[in-house]
Amino acid sequence: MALRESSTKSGQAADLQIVTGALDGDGRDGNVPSGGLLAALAEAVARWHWPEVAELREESVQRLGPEQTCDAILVAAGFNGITRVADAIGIRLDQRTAAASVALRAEIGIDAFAPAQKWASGGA
Amino acid sequence: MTDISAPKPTEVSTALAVRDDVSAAHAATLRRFAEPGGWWSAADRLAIVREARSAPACRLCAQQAAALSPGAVQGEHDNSGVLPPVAIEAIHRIRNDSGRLTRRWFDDLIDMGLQPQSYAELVSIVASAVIVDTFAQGIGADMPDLPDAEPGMPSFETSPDVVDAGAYLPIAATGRANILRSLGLVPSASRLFFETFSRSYYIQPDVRFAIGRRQVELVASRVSAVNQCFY
Repeated sequence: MALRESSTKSGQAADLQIVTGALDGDGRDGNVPSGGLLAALAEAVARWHWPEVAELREESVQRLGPEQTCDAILVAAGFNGITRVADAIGIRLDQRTAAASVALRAEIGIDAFAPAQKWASGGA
Repeated sequence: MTDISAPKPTEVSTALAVRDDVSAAHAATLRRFAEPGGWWSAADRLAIVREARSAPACRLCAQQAAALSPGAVQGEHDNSGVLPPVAIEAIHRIRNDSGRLTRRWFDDLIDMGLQPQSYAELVSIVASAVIVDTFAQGIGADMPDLPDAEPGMPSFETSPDVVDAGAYLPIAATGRANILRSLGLVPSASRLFFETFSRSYYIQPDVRFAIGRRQVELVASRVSAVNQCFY
């Protein structure tokens, strides 16, 4: 959600398909500076694929710089933690955010990650 | 002859430099792991971190990850035997397959005797360790050493200022967003996690990144998608 908001403020809308991986491998950045590289680095960090992280880190240091690369990894690491809190506590989406993001959530298919059985109690 | 001990071309021989505020925050997290918590002793908290670190090599978790439903594969997690089985199950699933956690799974943990407050603190410890360790390895460093456990008893704290908001646990009665309220049942657990996370996003006004806001949001969104986290 925040990606769209920040993109709108910048005057150039991000192509949200870069979030889901639909643009992977075609060289496009989704209207985010170095978006393709950052998305690949984020995914490799999230999956703990360290050899791939090492390659992408080197590429990122060359293209973006060491501080920028370090911060991208810091953000990825943080969200690797906070997604676990959200899933393990089973928190619901805030009503305000949910109402404001109905169309966006459908566009990137994120509602598929919240099946009804996530909150269903009882039974096997 | 090829020197097999030499770094491969794709390997980084030295880790990236880290800002002081990030180093300090993560060092503080490591120290807090070694202190008595709300519902776990210091030794238990360190054991939780060590179990989270070893969980990626668990054979049962690998089989469950490959299954259509993790519950379809039964067995025993590879573990050190230090913590009770209910804690091992929680740590491994949160570490390795959090996107498929369900209310029924959580209810089973409680039926097995895990206190909701103990669970909240365990979640905080595992998720905080994930941040510190993922970052360290991501920049090309080793996972940091853990301090020795400090003496003392857990405080057994429970916040009365919580509400049922449809989550597995009661969450803090007030707060900007549900995620920020999520660990409110045990305030020290909430502080542990969010002080660790605070350097990774725009939680506090002093946080600045060397990449732009859109780039930060892209990285955050992509990680959430990879982890199948709808939030």
